Amino acid sequence: MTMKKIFEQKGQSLVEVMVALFVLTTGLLGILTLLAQSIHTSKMISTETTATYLAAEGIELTKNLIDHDVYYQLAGFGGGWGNCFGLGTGTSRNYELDYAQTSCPLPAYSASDFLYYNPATHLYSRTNSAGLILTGFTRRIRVTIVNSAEIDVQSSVYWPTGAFTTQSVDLEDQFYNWHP
Amino acid sequence: MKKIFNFQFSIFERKGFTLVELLVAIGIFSILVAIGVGGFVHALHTQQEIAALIATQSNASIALEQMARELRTGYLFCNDPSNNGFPNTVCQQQYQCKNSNVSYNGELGWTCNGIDFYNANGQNVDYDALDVAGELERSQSGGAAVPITGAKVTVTYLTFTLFGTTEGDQWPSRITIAMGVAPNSTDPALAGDVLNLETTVSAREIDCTAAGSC
Repeated sequence: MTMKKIFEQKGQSLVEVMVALFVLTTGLLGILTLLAQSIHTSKMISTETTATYLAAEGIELTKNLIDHDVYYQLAGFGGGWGNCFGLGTGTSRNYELDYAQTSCPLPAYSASDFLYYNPATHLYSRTNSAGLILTGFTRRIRVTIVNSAEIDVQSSVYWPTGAFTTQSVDLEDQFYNWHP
Repeated sequence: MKKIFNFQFSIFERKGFTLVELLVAIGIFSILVAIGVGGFVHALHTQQEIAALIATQSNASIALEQMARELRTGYLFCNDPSNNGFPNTVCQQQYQCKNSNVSYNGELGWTCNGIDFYNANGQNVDYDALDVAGELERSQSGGAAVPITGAKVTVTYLTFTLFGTTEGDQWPSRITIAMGVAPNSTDPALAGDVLNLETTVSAREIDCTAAGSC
């Protein structure tokens, strides 16, 4: 490069520099917005964690009721395996329950029956009373009598993520008659 | 000689920026840099919040999974020493929970702030969050309490609601665990961000009908 060329060079105009910086900043802000969006996602995962444990609770409560039927029969009170549901082989039904469900038959599932959170006892129940907080969760327990020795339980928890969208956690377990 | 002359001549002919142009350029540049840095700082802050939330979720999950697994395979949730540990009557309050912090929960039974039972290996295990504030601890066979949640999270509450723990009541023991976990942070954006978890465990151990039949 000769000396002449150096002195003949033209730099960028102020406008050009401004435009370049503006484009650069806009691009950077786009990336930063993406990061801010991830906190929203993270909070959604918190809800999903809660829902997963509520769905697992549905499976365990059903297992508790199934086992109770067997113990009850063993003690000479009648009933027995699958007595709680009163369903024939190959049929299924949707129920709902909560930690306090200690009797059969189980109430039928309704999509408008939300779970309520009790801030005093920290427990989620399906019936409302004073002081309870409405959550967006509904829990559906689908029981299928596969055959005389197998009960299939599907526990789903649904919650709204927007005006028209819902999300769900679906768990499934099969229980076998351990005392036929 | 000519070259040198040209060189000197061109120096005096050059035009620089005016002071106003320079000030405007610096001003605009500063504003843009300030926006960029502000955004970056905000992003760093957000990143810390996310890390705190993830720590909360993973701590809560691992503690709850550990407790649920040990309770599911455990037994003797009602430990009545007067009857060899196998009460045939309704389990008395003083034997329901290890701790005195017990509240009667209607016909369902008792809600405790800690639980004392035997795991599948026959070891006497105790879970509670009472000894150190905000820390969930497990102790085994009367040994020292070992924390199972990290220092980055605070366990705001931990309760066990027991049903069917009396042996011979035709119910498998049902334990409902309720646990609140929050990030251990002074960040106002995370204040009150408690994860309210609840799950229930049905013990697989066969309900004993007579002392010693377990």
